[in-house]
Amino acid sequence: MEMHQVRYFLSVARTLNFTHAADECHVAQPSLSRAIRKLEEELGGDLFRRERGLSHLTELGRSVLPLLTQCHEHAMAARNLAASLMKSGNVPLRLALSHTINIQLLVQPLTALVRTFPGLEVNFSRGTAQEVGELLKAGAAELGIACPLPDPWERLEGWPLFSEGFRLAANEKHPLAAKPRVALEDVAQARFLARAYCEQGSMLQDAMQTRGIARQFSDTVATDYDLLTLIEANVGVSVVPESTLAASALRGIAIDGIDFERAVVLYGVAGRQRTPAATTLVKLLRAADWSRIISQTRRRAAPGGCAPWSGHDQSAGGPPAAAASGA
Amino acid sequence: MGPSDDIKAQLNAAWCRADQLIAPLNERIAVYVAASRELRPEVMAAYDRFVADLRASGVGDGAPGLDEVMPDFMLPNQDGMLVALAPLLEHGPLVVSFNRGHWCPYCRLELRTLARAHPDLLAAGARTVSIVPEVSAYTAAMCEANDLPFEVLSDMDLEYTRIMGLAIDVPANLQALYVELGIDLPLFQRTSGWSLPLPATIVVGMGGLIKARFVDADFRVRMDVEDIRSGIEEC
Repeated sequence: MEMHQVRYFLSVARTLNFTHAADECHVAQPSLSRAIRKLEEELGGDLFRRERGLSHLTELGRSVLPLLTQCHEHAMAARNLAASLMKSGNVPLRLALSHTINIQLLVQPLTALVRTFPGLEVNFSRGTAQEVGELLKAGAAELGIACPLPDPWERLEGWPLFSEGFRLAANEKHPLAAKPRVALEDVAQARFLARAYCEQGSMLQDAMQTRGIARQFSDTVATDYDLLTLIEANVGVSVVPESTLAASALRGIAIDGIDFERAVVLYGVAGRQRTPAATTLVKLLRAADWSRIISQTRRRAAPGGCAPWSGHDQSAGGPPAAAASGA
Repeated sequence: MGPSDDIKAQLNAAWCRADQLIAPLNERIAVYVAASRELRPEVMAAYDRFVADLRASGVGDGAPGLDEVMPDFMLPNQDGMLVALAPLLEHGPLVVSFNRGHWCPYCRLELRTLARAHPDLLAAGARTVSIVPEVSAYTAAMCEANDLPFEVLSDMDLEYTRIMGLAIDVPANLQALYVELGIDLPLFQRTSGWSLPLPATIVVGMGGLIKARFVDADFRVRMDVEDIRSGIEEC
């Protein structure tokens, strides 16, 4: 049963005239008649006794009329509710984040957002970059943040937010933390905590392989939370994107031998209506000064300023010279 | 290739002279324009042609006019906070300045002028805000470098600027010129096209209606502070 069939039925029931009903519903009469016939087939009997000029409801028509009227009214109410929810922002904002996105990065933008949309609820999902793409496609998330998807759905629109390099994450008591820089070879000697979900895992493998480095042995962790907890306990070291350490007091040490960066991208679905909260969050995230957000979060976490890690390596398109451009 | 270091230094010096001159804004801009014409006549000629084309196309004519409603906005400021129109109008009128970017010498002269006039405008009851299509890394640096006492809002993709009918596309020849000068609009705006706002100044009354407005196809002409003050008095 389709909503337009119900609408046409109600119109004929009211006007008792197929032509007038077609006018009222702004369709050609043959279309309306066809729709009513399909409804009659589905319900197993005639709904109208068709006479020239005036049609009458049959017994069946009379008995389903109140139910179909109610059905139509409920559908209209649902549509109006949806429209007003969309407008008032009471629809939860569903964000999908890949496993390697540090939620700390979103604290400031989300704080600003919630101040403007006080009743807003945010639903977070986690997954691989691939899964984030799937959630967006399925409409289970409005926005996603992940590394660039290798084969994105053509309707996904992506806004690159920032790029960053990798650091060795180590406890300050760890021997490798004593130096301002380490070589990849040194990393191979330490107990290594591998991040199973790391999008650049294979790039790291390749970097080690090209230098003929074989890793001693490594544990595998399932989340960055687990990873940071283990490193804080000095269980081992790991190679992480700089922003992973944003809210941590752990040292992020520069590594010679890793020259690749990773891009962090905000994704949405093109052509799909976004809630006001999501639209606003897109503006916030796109306009954000990421190197400042990351370095501010870093400073709060490691107030002694001990970390040799600095935000300046990031190619976030940082602040320009104030001198005249010659324009 | 870009201008030689010597020419850049002379342009810089001219800009500083213009900035420090005690005179109405448009007279000061004229000082910089005069120096530019002398030092790089071909660039100014390109700008003249561009402005003539803009004027002929009637761009900006569609912008909301006097006594019309100022469209609503909700944009992030240089610190990542969201700023909407209505709260800014709660205690008095609002001066809205549409600016091109941290790189624009005319916008910098204008914004520094607005900064200097800010205490007076506040005393007259009016707040000020600038709307720029750049990301906050640049607007924050511009605020700091020029000691701006008001908020600068980022209008991504010139979305609000387009609603206002103030967006213009930068033609290919000008894009090439800007690239030579190191003005990378796609980088500054984090967008793929080359678009800019027509610089404009709008005074909005507490009721949300436009009480004074200045829109000109020539980005080298701006609203004088005296006219802004009269506009505020209209509110």
